[in-house]
Amino acid sequence: MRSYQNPFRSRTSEQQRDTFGFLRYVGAGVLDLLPEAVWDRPLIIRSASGGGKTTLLRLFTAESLAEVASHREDLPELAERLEKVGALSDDEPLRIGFLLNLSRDYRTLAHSGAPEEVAGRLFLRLLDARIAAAAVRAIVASVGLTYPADTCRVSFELRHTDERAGSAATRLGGTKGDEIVSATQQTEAEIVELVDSLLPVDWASASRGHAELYSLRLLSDAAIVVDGNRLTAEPLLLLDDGHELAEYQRRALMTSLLDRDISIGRWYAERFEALPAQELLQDDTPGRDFEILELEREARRTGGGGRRKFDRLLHDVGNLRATRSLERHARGARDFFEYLEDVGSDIAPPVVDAVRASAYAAADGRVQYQAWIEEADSGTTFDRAIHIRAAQILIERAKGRPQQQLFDTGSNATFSSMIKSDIREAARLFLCKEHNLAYYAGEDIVVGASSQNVEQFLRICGDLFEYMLGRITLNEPPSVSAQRQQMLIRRASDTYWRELPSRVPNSSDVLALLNRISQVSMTETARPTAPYAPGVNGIAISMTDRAVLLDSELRARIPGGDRLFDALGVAIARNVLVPDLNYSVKNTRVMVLYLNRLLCPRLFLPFQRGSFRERSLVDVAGWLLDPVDPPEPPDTLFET
Amino acid sequence: MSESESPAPLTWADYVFGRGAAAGDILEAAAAGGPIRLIMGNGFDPRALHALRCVLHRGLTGSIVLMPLPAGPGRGAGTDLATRNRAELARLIEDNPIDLVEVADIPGSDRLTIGSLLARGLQETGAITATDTVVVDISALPSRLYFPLIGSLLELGKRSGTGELLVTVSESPELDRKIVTDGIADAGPINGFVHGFNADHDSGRIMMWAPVIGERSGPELEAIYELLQQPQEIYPILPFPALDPRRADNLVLEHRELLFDRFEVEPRNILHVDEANAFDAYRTLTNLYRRSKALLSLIGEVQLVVSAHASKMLSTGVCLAAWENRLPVVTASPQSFGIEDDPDASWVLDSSTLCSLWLHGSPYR
Repeated sequence: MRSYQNPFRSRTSEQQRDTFGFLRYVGAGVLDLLPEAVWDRPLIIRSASGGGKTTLLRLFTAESLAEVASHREDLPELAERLEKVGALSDDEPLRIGFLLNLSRDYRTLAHSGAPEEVAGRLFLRLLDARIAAAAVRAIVASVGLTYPADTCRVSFELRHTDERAGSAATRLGGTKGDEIVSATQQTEAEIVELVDSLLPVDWASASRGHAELYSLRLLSDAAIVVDGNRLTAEPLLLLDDGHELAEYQRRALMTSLLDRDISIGRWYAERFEALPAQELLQDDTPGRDFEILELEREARRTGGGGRRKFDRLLHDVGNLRATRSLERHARGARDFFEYLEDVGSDIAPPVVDAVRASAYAAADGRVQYQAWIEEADSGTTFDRAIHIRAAQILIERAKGRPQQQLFDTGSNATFSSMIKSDIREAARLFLCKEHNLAYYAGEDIVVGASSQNVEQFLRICGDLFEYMLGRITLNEPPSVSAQRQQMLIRRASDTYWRELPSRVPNSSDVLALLNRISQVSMTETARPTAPYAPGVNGIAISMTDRAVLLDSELRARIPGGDRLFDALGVAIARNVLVPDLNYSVKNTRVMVLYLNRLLCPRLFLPFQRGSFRERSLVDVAGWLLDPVDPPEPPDTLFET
Repeated sequence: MSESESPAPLTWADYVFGRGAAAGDILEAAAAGGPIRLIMGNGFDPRALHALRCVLHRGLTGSIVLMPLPAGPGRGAGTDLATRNRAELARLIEDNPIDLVEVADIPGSDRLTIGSLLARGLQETGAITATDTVVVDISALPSRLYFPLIGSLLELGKRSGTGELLVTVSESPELDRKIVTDGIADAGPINGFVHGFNADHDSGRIMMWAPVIGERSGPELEAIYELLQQPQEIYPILPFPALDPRRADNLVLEHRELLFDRFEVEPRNILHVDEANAFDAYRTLTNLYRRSKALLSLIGEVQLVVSAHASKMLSTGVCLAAWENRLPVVTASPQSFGIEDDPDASWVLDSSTLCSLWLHGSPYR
């Protein structure tokens, strides 16, 4: 039997060692998320794990840009967008990006037992050496030479715009490529050996370090010369995984990056984990000397088409990954998402009969209610069932109102004017839950379940594609029924819940919070009147309460306050809870905390944002002191 | 390595290893060189005092060096067990002629460096000297502590040519399966075993990874895979022979999707090592490294990264191979540990076997 590879599982794009393989899978839409000013000031990129930071940075490395420039026809969308942001010209790269991962051994250096002053200087010296060597390496790659053999053909010609550049070069080993690489190797060996020692270390004799990043000064002042010819392309420093640094290292690095005398492009990426809970719960800070790109926030932004752009990006990523395999294995000419059947395909006429009977039972013989049901009873089978179920929601609402109000509503409003999209959506949720129909199916749901996280999206698509491969193996078309999609998505949701304790630090408090938010959401969503249609998937605390939470003294006076503060920091940093600050509701402003969308299918909760219940800070903090069991799904999971 | 060059002999080609009563005999033989310094952990593991009881039962003299645990003494039922262990330790010290040196935690230290700082500290303060007979009981110590401890003592022994070093471990695969973990940390190399680790794509090295696979280690494996940024070759190491002969198969089933779909492991890369003998894991990893280095030296420098997710016995083998061959050891250790239920003391005793590994000293001189 042939075995097939699952392109969603095999490798995330950022981990592809082969540059072309990496570029082939990248959704070019990620470049649309970039702000406009990215070359003349530092750009700070933040997201949760799997948000797409590394992919974005890697697109700008010298190797990637050179590859796109030489394979324009194969990568037209990338080429076009890179040109638009100013990284490529018609025929060559305009930037020489060099990527350094800060997760290597810098934090270890900070905790190596060296006095902080010594460790700080050693950190800057080690990073400096690596930046300089990475720049040389990228220059070699950008002109198609070989590393390290051709490093002697690279040099830095000082323009003397900064008198300190000369001494910076001396500290880094010189102005020639090979001298810099050799000095870097020596520095690395010296510092890494020292830190990794298992025997006692004499730190006093190891204090030679750097007070700033001299490499940035050199690169800002110097022209890049290869074989005697000046290059026009500008260096671009790309720093990844800044959250791995110790706090004082991060501060020192930021100081160097924000130095106004530095003129090279410098991008720095970190996970939200790097930020203290205090910062995670803050809003944007206006008027700064740098640009911030928060991927999830940008993806959620409705103004400027952020959400649309991000959804399109995921759509592209899904198709890029799957299309080649589908063509090869199933001779399929369609896009990946076209194989996902839409909701409503699994409904049978007896379900409509049952829905109708239930609605009439709710109407209890009242003529006006029966008229609503009759008005709703038209359209395709699925639409008909939704409308009738919506009529039942309206009936339940009407039954709960005082007679006068009911009369007013009935006399002035027609049934169709009362059926708003939120009620329709709540009706669809009730219908699917009550009659075991597929609710979680179709492209929008798959994209939505990602909660603006590429890694999460790839996992869900991986599950769907796994099933497609099973069908291909059985010589069946690779389409996935709506029911099957729902089963797979709910199973992915269940797995996500089960893995939380091992994936999230401080998991007992985070889970205590999630369990309570889920409990509130399920209770409110299940109410027959659907008061918060289409359903609740989050809670909110007032911005006043949030201010109390941010104040350590006031917070300490609330039982469970400090624990809530820490748990929220973790949950937001790990994208388990999604905050929406300054949300306007009923003449007040609140901070909404939504469940990550992948938490919802297990509990049959909707994905839509905007429906939540407000709770006081005291109540929410108290939840951590009085944990409840995880809520059980309202039905039997995974029956099919 | 050229054809005329013969490979360096394995340090532990011949070794001294004993289980059960033989483990006690080995401790007794080592104690002939001087009083024992028993380094042990201060946690919830019901096996924490197994080695100490054996030392006392044999009438051996010496002192205890009690190490702090970076993840705390345990959570849930583990907290009670840790308290019980502390009380029992206090009783044993009171009833027997043995001293206690309690090592203080290092505030602000990092989970990856704490082990090397404590190991250096033991030498700096003179708590351990080159001529001591040291027994490291790893039964209640996490790998990020005992890897640097063992490495540091091997280094000390190698440089001085004196002293004795033994490792003891109370083995119980059943009890191992009851230990539960909470919230894994980001992956990284254990300090002292960084050994030039560099996962960057442009390092020019051939990245290989040999994880010793254990139950429920999926999140750890994933975190390390992410750190290594798609190693070129992965060699999963599975326990076979094992007490449960189906254990290796069950592990493959448990991690099937991760190993074959995500990591794209070649089935022929799977290696098997004896669950009950650390030296088998040591030999297998050393041979894998030496063979790969010899074969691949023409196309680049080989970086074999190892990680241990299974029993402490197998982890010790990983530690020895990593120390001897300067292999980077990476971990994504849990942030706290606990135990599924409160196991009965007599069950623990019945299901556990004390093992001694004599790593440095008289037998090798």
